[in-house]
Amino acid sequence: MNWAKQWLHYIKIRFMEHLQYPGNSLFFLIGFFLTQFQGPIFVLALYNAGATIQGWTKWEIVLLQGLFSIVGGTAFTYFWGLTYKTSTYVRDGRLELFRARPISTLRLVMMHSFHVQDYSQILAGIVITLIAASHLPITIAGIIKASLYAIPGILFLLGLTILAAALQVHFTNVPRMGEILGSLLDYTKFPKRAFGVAQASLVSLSPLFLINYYPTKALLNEPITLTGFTYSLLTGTVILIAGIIYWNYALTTYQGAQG
Amino acid sequence: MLHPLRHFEAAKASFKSAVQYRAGMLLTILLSVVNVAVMYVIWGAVIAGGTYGGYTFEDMILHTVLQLIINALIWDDWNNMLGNAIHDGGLYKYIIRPVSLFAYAFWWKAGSRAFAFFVEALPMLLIFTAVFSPSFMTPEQPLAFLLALTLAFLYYLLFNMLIGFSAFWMKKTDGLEWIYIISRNILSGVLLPLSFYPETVQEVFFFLPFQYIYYVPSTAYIGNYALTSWNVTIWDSIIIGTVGLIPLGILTTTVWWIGSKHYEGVGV
Repeated sequence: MNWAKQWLHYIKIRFMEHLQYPGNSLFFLIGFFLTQFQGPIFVLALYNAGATIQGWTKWEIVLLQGLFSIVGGTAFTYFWGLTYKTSTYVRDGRLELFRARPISTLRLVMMHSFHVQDYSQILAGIVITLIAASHLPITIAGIIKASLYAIPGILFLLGLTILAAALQVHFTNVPRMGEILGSLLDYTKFPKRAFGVAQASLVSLSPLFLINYYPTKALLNEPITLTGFTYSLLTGTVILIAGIIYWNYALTTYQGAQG
Repeated sequence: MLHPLRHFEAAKASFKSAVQYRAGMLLTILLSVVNVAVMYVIWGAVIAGGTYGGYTFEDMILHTVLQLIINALIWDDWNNMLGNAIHDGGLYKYIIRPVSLFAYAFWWKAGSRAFAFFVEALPMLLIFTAVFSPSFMTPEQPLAFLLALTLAFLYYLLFNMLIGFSAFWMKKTDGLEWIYIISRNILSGVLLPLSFYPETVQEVFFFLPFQYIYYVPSTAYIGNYALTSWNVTIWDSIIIGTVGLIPLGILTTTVWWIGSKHYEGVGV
């Protein structure tokens, strides 16, 4: 059985599992859907009170947040839980059992990190993007460009979560890593300009804006500075490669005393 | 005769239990610093130099810090504790105790929050004061804050107990809990102070009980309570919030009474 089949099989199991608790699953889907609207509510209320972010209309920022929900939601659904799952498996020794299996350990834990509820985050992202897009001049070419620009963002999130998971293996659980990463992602919910001159120099080096900033620019058919994007892409790639190397190294140090 | 200080034993036990999780609490301070840093940058870009919804930049930073401090002082886990106890039959350990479940929950929470005051709230307040040098308060602000905080403590507990009691009828309650948390974040002013919203929305917020969890204590401390154009003062709001506790208390007690009546505790 190839890995894609295994993955699909696991997704099917998770769906069946959720169907056993239809009421709870429905509440989760509604809850995750509503969560994504916090950002747009925040922006619309801010602009209602008269505040603005220079150079950005409220609908452009809502679009940025909608794209974050789509790109982030894809990552959250398929692999973002890797950090949390690894932390659990490291502590209860299951990682030792996974290592003994004839399949990549990383792939196996990633499969286990599949999170059904985050599909509603993607759905909410699509709804938010459509609402924002109805107030903005969006073209088909822009949509295609934005889709292409979103790919590095997903890969960067993959690198980030592998790196965080490797830390869990190496240090046998780093508590509240998920929350730290969550705080980091908060920066992506506002345009670069929101972070002022001092932060902009740091931010331009940061790959965080691969997630939704460049896709938004592409969707709005606005020019993207090659230098800024290249910096982001390079740092994003380095994080992905470093994450995989560090994961493989961390696995060699893991002893699974309880396994 | 039951010992008059028996409730205090619950507070003592939870204080000791909280001591065991001190590393987690200290880590909360680190996370809080990261959160405040993010909000500092965002608010600096959005409202620096201006006043929006009655808030200056300094007020917004104080509002952000206060959310964290208030949360440290009113947080509890009774939704999960009750939900799990109902599912695994452990609810009987609360039923057979010589104190009411509500009194036990209150004192348990009081003990753990007393520890959180020293380990989370006080360091956060000191760090904030050292970095931002906030302006002085009028004598009535600390008093209003303490009263509003007491209300927040009780509202938070009663809502969490209600969510926990839903386990009498549902196999899992975490989905419902998630919806509650999101709604609370928006309706209680965690996401944004309620005075930023349009007037009609503020009028709706005014009649909901969620403002008493974060917005009222936070604005009591800052001294800028405003919700709707009805000229309601912080003291009016505290009185209304106190009266509002009665129906919420009756609702929670009724749900507990109905749920526990048919509870069989399979799995004990």
